[in-house]
Parts: sequence; C-alpha cells; structure tokens
Amino acid sequence: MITTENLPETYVPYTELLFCSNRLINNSRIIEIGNVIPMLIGQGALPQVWLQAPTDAKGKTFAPLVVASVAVHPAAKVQIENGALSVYAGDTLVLRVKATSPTYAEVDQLDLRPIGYSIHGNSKGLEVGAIQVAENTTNGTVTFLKLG
Amino acid sequence: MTTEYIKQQVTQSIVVTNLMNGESIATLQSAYPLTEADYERLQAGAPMTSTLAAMLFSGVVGYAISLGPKLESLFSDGKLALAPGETKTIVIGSAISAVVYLAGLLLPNKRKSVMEKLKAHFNDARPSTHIVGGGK
Repeated sequence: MITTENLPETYVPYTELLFCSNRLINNSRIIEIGNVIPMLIGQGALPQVWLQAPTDAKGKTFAPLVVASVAVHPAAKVQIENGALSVYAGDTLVLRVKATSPTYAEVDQLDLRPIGYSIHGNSKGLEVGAIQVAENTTNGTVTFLKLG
Repeated sequence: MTTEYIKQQVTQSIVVTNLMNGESIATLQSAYPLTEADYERLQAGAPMTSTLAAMLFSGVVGYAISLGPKLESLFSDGKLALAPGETKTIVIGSAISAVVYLAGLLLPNKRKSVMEKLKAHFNDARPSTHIVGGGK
C-alpha cells in the first residue's frame, strides 16, 4: 500500500503537472486519504502512474490497480493512445496523462468515481465532491487535495 | 464551506470530506451450496475403518509393551528374547491394522465424496474481480 511513509522508490514527481487545469509546480503528491496516496504520477519514458482503489466501502484498505504504469489487477487496463497513457477501470477511462517534456505532463481526463473516489475532471477543471477546483496554482505545497 | 477554488494561488492543501463514494474492488467466487446433510457428513470425520485400525494397532502396541522385559535384552546383549509366537503376533497384528486402514482409504465414504464435490466446485468456480458497491 502506498502511503506518505511508503512511496515507490522509482517515483520522481514532475517539476510541473497540469492536473485538470490546475498547475502543480514542484508538487510531490496530488491526493491523500489519511496517509494513503491513491494516485501518483511521476516522471519516466512514459508517465509513471500508480493507482490504488479501496477494497471496502469505508476506504480502510486499498489494493493496487496500476503499479509504475503496469496494470496489476484484473479490473484495470493501461493503454498508450496518441502518446498519452490511459488507465481504464472496467470500461471507464479513469485517467489520461501525457508528458510533453521529461519534467512536464498534463492530465486532461480523470474519473475516479468507478474506483471509489468522488473526483472527476477534464482539461477545464476538477470536481471534487461538490467543490469546483480549476485553474489554481500550487508551488511546493506537499499535497494538493486531502480527502477525509 | 468553500464550494470552489478557481484561479487561486493555493498555499495549503485543499481539504475535502466524505469523498469515498462506496465503490470498491472486490474478488468474488460463486459459493458452494453446502447443505446441512453435507455438513454432517464432513463433521462425521474419519471413516469407521480408520477407527478400527487404530483400535487394533493400540492392542498390538499394548501387547508389545507388556513384553517389555523380553525386549530389554535386545538392548543389553543384542539378542531377541521373544518367542516366535510373540513376534508373529506383533507382526501380524500390525499388518492387519495397516490393511484395514488402507482398505478404508480405498473404499468410498460419504465424507470423501463431499470433499470431492467441493474440490470440483472450486476448480470450476474461478474467482473474478468486480467493482461493487456505490450508491452513497
């Protein structure tokens, strides 16, 4: 399980990540639930994605779906489409990320609802529960979204 | 509570509550329709032949122990002081218990047939993964 104390050794965050219109600069993490990190996007020849989903409705335990951009769970699928890395859960596109330089990447499609989190967005913005999150900038903030 | 963060310089984490929507990843496998009769057969445990073999062998061991003073000479001067009839009793008794025990393994019994049905079921019913829950 990926937690704030147990990050993958090969994970290197992007210098800048455009995350559904939000600019995360020198940002090490996108989302945290307690000390669990459900999603990481890091540098690599292709963007390196780690994704975990809850195995219970209350979100106490998590199972890896994607590890270093490799699907490790029958419910997950990873595809390369037009230079972008796409992650599917069942038939739903849950994440699409494209790196345009070694240190810069963009997420323009996100839908984590099928895997337990009320978060979805596109290149115009994010909807986190009932909250609109768009075109913000963070610089050095440790974690962009903290979920309770 | 703030309902939007738009075009801001965010200096602290955006904290949101109740974000889990109840969906989760589950591994499912079809259940074996265990009846009470099958449960009783499983609980009955070892077949009668095993019990019979154990009783016979216990008798042989008891007999051998009663011959302890004669067996003692085997260790002191290396000679077996048992009479031929005594040795035969121990050997034949052990052989009969082994035959009874092995016969029990080969004969059909109800517990074994239920275990075979369970094994066949779980060989066919492979687990699969599904996204479950939601509706929160």
